[in-house]
Amino acid sequence: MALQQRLLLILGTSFTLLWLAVAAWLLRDLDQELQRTLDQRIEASAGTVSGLITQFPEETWQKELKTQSPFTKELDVVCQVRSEDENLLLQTHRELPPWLGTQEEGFSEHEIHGEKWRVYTTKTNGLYISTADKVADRKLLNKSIFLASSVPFLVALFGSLIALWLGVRRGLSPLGELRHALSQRRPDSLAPVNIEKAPEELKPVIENLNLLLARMEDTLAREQRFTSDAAHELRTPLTAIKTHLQLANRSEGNAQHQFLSDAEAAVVRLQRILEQLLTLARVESSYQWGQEEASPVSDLVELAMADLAQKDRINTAGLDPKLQALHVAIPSGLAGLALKNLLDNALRHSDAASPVYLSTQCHQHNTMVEFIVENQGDELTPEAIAHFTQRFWRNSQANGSGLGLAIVEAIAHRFGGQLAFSLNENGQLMAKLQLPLSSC
Amino acid sequence: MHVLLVEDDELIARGVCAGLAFAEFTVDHVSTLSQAEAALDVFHTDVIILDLSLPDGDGLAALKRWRREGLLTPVLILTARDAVPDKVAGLSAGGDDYLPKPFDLDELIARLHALHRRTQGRAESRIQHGNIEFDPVARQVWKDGKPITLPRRELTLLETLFNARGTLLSNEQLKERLYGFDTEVESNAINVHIHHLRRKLGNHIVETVRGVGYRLGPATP
Repeated sequence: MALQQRLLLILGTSFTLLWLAVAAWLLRDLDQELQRTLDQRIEASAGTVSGLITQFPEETWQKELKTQSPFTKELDVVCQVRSEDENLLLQTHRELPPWLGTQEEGFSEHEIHGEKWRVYTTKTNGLYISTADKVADRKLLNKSIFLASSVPFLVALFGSLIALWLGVRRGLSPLGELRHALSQRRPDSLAPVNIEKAPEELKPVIENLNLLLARMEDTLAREQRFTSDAAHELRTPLTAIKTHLQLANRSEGNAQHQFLSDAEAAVVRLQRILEQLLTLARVESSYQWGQEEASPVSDLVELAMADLAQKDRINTAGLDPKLQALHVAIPSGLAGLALKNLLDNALRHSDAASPVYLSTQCHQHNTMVEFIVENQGDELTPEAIAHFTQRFWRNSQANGSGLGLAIVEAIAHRFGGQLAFSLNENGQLMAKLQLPLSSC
Repeated sequence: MHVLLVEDDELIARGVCAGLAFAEFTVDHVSTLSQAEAALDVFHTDVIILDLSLPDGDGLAALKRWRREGLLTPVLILTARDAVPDKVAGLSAGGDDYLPKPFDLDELIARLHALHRRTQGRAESRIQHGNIEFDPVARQVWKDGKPITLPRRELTLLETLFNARGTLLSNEQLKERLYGFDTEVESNAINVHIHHLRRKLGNHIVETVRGVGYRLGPATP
């Protein structure tokens, strides 16, 4: 059920029930008050008559009164005066039966000729004075008062419900606007949601939603760029394979052999890119790496340098002997791969004759080991350095896949380490890879 | 047909060059935009094959600049970017055709021929000149309806003369079209080819303008 309907239902029902309860309470009190007032009226009437009678000696007014005709006019209150021996002396209405014959004093109700009467009887100077009014008249009066008070009550009730409806509608209009704005959007739209005059309560929701949309747009753009770059990187060797296989089909002898070996070279490149992409995906996903024992720094350096083509150019004089036995808290395969990529990058982007320096030092209260790789290569700008870990970014004509340093950074981040690049005072590129230690 | 290939990947470039050479194209390969610009300044090219991701810049931006500067040579964009927006951007930037990688060599060759034919303003691929008929795609020549076998250089020379449509071509220009930019050739190589062509198709097929160059002769002797 819509929020507006639910609010209207809850508030409307509550309002109506409350008003009805108040009305029932008021009417009950009103009825009691009315009965009391009417009782007081017939009691006061009896008192008045009694007061008048006491002013005359019995024999005087008895004679006078007997000769008088009773009132013929319809009166709301009727009165009878009787002697102690039940003789009717006086009454206000001619048709009145001797129903007031009872001598009980005070209030009582009697049914006479099918009609109910409310009677008050008092005794003065040996005379019984009874005053009465019809219960039906009382009910009629009660009904008139009920009707008279019901109309404004109902107007107020319906007025309240309309005011409630308008208020809820107006109060929830920003929500309706938001709903409209959201329903009008294309499912793939990432444009920010704009609501005019959004209330304070909705502002953080809309701001957060827009922030989320902006982040999603950014993420999607990055994903799209990555997919597009990955497609590009995969298609390039694939194209070389396809082209050289087609050429091999059209040729023979040495030429065919050359085309086939070119196709094979492209296959090797494709395989390397696929492996790097898989490594990157695994490092960044929740892939559970084997619970290998942490390897000492010395083993990692050995592992990283094992397959490097120009490892003779690496100068390891800067390796701190005290750190060699410390264990790095990362699966040794990954830590070795990170260091290998760093060294490989330094070897490939430096002068063939110049050495690449590898050194280590302890950091952050001996909880991290820092591998520092320095090399002399092309002049670099800070802008170029900022692109180093960007996927598929390559410096000029370098023939790598552009994923090596991205993998190093992903490994460092995954296990709480860090990767940073800077230029030292001699203009040499310095890569610092910090990895956590399991013991120191 | 003379093709300038702008491709930074050595393996692909080697494959495309070899594939186009099979189809008797003369191909010059450069791997950067600056080299491509230098080549365009120096020699004539019938079609440019352009990769978009190049080490010294974006091929698309360069193509836009070339078109602004008045380059009319047809450009076939050969790239790994295969999304529709990429194709639209490529064609809008001044590309005449767009072929995503990986491609089929035959398709690339067919597209190059089609591009060249359109540039020449021809509706049909075959060229008729008097009693001589030439099919640039099938690399076949007929004289009076009979097929004549011509070696690759002579076919290219004939095609160059047909495409020049009577315009004078110098000895150097013909060398460049036949052998490409970098190849060293004998100084009389063009004369030898013209001699063979005249012998096989008739003396009138090539007209010599002494001291200036050569052009396509009249349709009838």
